[in-house]
Amino acid sequence: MMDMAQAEQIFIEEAQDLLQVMETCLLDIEGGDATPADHIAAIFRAAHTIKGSAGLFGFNTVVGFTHSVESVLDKVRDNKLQMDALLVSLLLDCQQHMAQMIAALSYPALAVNAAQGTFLLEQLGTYLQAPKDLAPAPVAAQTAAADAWSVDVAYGLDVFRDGMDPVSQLSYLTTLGTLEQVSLQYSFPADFDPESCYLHLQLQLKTGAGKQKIEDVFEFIQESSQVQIKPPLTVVEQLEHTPLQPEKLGQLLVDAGAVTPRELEQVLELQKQQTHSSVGELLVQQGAVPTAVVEAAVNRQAHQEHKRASDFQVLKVEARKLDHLIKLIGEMVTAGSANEMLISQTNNEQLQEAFSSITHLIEQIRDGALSLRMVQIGESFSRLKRIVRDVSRELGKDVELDVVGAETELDKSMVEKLSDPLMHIVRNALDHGIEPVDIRTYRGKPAQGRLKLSAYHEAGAVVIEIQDDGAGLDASRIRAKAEEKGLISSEQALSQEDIYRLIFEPGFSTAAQVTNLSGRGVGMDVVKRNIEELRGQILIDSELGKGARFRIRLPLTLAIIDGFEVTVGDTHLVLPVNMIQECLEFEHAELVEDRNYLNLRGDVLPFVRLRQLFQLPQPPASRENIVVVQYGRSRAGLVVDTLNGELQAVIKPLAPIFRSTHGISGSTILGSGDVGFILDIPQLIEYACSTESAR
Amino acid sequence: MAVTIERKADFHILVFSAELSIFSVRDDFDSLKTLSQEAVSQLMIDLSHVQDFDSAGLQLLLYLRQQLQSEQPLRWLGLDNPVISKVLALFRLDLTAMEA
Repeated sequence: MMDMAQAEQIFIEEAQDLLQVMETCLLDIEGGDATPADHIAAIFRAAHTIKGSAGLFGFNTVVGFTHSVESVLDKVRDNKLQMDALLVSLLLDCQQHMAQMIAALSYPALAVNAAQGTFLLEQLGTYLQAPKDLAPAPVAAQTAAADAWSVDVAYGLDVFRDGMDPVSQLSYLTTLGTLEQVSLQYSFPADFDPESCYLHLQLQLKTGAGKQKIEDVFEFIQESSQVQIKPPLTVVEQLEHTPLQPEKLGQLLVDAGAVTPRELEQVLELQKQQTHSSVGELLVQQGAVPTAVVEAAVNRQAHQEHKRASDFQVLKVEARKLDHLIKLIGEMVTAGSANEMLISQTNNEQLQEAFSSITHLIEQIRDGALSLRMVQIGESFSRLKRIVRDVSRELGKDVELDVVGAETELDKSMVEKLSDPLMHIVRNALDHGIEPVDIRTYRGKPAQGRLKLSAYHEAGAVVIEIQDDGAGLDASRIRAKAEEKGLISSEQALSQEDIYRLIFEPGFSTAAQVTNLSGRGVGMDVVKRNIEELRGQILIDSELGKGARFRIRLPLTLAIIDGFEVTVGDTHLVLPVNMIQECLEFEHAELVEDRNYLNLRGDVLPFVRLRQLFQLPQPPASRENIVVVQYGRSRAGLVVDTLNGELQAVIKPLAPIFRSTHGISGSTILGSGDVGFILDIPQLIEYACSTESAR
Repeated sequence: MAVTIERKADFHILVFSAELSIFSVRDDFDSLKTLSQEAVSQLMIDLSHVQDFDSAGLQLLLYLRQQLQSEQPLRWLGLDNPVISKVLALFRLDLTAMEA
């Protein structure tokens, strides 16, 4: 049976997840990426669940505070209170306070700011005592029938002159279904013109056709007339059967056939001017749908949200179990390679064919198991959103955050280890990169600073970029500081990139003013170390006065790679396939004496002789090969004896005794049972480039 | 050809030609203006010759009914003309009914 402590821990984890949802939704609303109507159900549910579960455990302070938050959210949900910027900001503060209270349950040493709690409760109280009642949304005159479409056409004066005939439209509608309650109204002016149209048609149509099909009948009079087509209430049923997709309200209504894409487009355009109105309200106002259908769609959305949440949280697996599974799959890959080699020696085609399908399945299982560990980076990005919001406010800077590629996936363990480095880089960008408004204006830049977070896949790696349009890195200041700190001598020649890299040295800080956010010089060295621990690389691009860009490249997986096996003497080496550009014969005759570079179709290619680097005793083979490898923008050649072909390599970490060996990142067991060493390509490229440029 | 006005006994009979549509309503309307200068005791509208009938034609009939029925009862001829009856059925209209 689960003990109380375990149950409490589950509550804490769930509450943290829900607070995360709440924060993301509120930030979306604040940033204008969503309307309150889009997210109120999810925010309310988060608060409601936290309150309910906290009550079970007797966490009364959490219950009391959350109850007030929930009451305010309830008013917003019932349209009795408008969620304006002030309220969103207050709710974000409340969310943070709730997060503090939850964190204090695990770590009682963490103090909860009681004064802050009281202040927030007072603020919430003002919303509860003096509600800012909303004017009820205008209800369209025509109500929807239970099972028929309501069509209302106020024809424009020029309809006849434009060659349009309502008789033909009505006649066509009879082909779509049954007409009911047809009513033709007219009001003739004193100066009646027989060629002008004064007709107003209202009818009910029972049909299985969608709204688009009905709207098409009136396509050519849309400009000159007012056409309103309202779906029957049976659309509500259709809404319940629309596939579960993470959709917005408008899209949900379009999919259910209640609204046409044209109507949605018009309303979205209108919403740009009436930002306080939700899409649902505007659709009702425009007479596109009855209120009941919008309500059904909102409920459906809430249901969807609920479904979505449970879909994602359907199963929680201990990381230990998952790691064990991946380890077993690794063993299976290794055993599979050994079998494959033995079978290929038997010359039994049937057996080889049968085994190749097993190999194929093993590959799929491997990919499937690895994907279990993959998570979207969006979660980390949304945490950064909050940091950008809070830090820029604290510094009095106006910063717009742009997030691209939040759906990019990478290993869960990497996401966790990346969290701190990313936070540090973002804080630095806000603190030292983006200038205060007056300086930006003086420099002719837009007052609002811009910070862009992006993530994408590139040649077997995940790249995360943090780019700002601030002051950029000042190479001369960095150099001066490094000299002052004794990190380099004044005579040392350094490239621009080498100078930028000095900021990763321990104890380095150029900020003239130390704020409580960054500038203590502890951090950038840790950032680099964390990223290197993940077999990643961090690069800096910067232009003085224009901004800086940090690029973090990380390998896609940490456990199994597609490798390429080569040998030097009797040593087996494995290279990640996605870093190999090409393989060539190594021509000694074409070399410049004593220099380790060659001319590759007009480009200079530095290379490393692996035999020399690893001090392998055997003499070189009569024919040597060179494998051209690339990492990021740099490339180099690796001189090896034989090229053996592709394989799946299960990465085994090196024993601590070998950790100091440069150029090797891990080991693997080959099909033959031999040990293969996995080469650390970024390190080898850096070595090749730096030794050659140093000469 | 536009509508013709025949005078038989006490009756004024408006005989619409084959065309009662957007292409004829202007002429029809102009022809009917002369009615207002005459003393009309009984009025009959004959639609039996109509072959082309559209919404503009229907609107003119509705206008006439509204303008004239207050002065004298209207009688309709040719309402069984399929061209006419089909359109009236579509709009669920009964021209013989008094307007509210």
